[in-house]
Amino acid sequence: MSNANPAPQPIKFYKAHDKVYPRETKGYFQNLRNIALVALLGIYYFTPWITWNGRQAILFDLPARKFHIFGLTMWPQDFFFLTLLLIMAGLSLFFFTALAGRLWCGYACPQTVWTDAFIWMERLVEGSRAKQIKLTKSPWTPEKIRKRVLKQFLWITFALWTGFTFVGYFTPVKELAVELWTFEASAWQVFWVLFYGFATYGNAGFLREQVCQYMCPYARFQSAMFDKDTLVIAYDENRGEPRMKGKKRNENESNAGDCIDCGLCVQVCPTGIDIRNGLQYECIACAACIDVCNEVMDGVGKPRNLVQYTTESTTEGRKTNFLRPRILIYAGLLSALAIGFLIALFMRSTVQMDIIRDRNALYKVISGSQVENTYTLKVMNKGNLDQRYQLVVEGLPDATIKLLNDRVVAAGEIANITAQVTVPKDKLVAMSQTVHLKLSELEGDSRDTISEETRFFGPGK
Amino acid sequence: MTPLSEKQHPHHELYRRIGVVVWVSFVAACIATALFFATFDPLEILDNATFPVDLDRTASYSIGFFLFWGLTSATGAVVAWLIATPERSFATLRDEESREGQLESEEDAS
Repeated sequence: MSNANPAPQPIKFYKAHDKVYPRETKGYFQNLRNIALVALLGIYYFTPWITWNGRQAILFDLPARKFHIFGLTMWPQDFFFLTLLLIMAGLSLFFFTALAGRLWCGYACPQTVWTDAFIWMERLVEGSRAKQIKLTKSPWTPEKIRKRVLKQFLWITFALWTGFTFVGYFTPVKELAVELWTFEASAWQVFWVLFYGFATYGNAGFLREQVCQYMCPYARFQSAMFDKDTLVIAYDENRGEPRMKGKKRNENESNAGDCIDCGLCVQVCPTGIDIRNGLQYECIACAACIDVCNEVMDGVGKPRNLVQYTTESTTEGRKTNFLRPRILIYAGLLSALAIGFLIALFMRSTVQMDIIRDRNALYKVISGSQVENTYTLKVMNKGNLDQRYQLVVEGLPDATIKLLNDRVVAAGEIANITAQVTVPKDKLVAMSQTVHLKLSELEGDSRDTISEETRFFGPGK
Repeated sequence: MTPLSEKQHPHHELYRRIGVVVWVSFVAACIATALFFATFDPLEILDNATFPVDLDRTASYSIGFFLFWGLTSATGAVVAWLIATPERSFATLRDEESREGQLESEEDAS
């Protein structure tokens, strides 16, 4: 009876998750990763404290709607540059993925970097992998409570500092520090410090490799950039198999492969996979297995690189082709964009003008002999100085300009200025002719001039 | 090969789905917020609000972000919920089985 209607079993799309306790590794690639970690975290935590011309060097001043990047000030009108930067970042990701696989995941992704920092703190308090596992299994002794409290204290402090630094990019960091200390910071500032701190703690302390495996889109689509010449981390099956250990190995020494099946490559893996099963999407290419396996191979007196950076082509005995069309196209696009970006940035003017013609009347004839056109100029001051401007008409002989509301335009302000351009009737050559309005800055050392085209209308000859 | 099994939470899969929805919609909301507030100054918008709103820019950005995030995660949550095909009930399965049995017996008879 009990077998007649077995309870329905829902299909599990995901495997059950167990906490991964990565074993500490030392070696060439881990040194590289540690250098990357210190450099990247250093840049992140230190940058807001740099001062430039008496102001925070990098400040995305959202409340004032302007970004300061050293000497440069960007306004919302410069959003185009940010878009270009993001496209370039995306293309670089494609380029480096095609060339060297998941370099980003293993060395530079914030998820990896902060997770490593959190794991480092965990090791500092709880000790090696074996000790951590033992501690997890142990009942709540005073020693366990002490270690867990200390770990959480370090994690939470670090996470809060991260949140504070994050907000420090958007609001002057020194003032923020004082305001937080004296409980004068605004509610939203406190909120974002806590929010970012919480996100850091959650992602780096709690979720860790699950972010890469279940939440990261890049981990899913990076395989599209892979080909046979992409650098991957792989286990040399021909050399390693059949893997044997212990007694079996001693009895079959002549048949045994180089892999002594010590399992260390699995223990060091931060995502908990076995690299000997081949390339897997969970692998973030941190190269911990390479380092630990090389150590083991040195120990047992066998050559290194049983697990190594290699390409599918090399494994199949061909030469790796680095300069393939995919790489060249990515590199070409990337350099074209970068050059375009630099040129645009260099040619970027600190003033912008849009001309709107008077919609009510095309022209006005004044005292029988003068023709007048009225334009509304939207003048945007994108510089750091309050600015006065001079307007000149080109393409109309004997034209005079009267500015109705000429004034100083504050830095970052958009001013509506009305310009009345008057020309003697007999100087006009057509009913409609092209003219250029030239706007020049009058303040500062490097004065920009811009020219915009518009039309001048008259009664005709 | 997993180093250590910890007890599995019964709602693990649900949590994972929530995580994916929350994270993806977070990224979408970030992009939307950046595009929206690069185009519109919240103070200008508030000046033209149909009822008086007194917020500074930081508060407006923050509230705007959470409005976007609420919208994107609500969409994501409904999509995730609908895309998971519901399991068919026992009754349906039993009906199907009996129908198939009937067909077979009809074939045998003919």
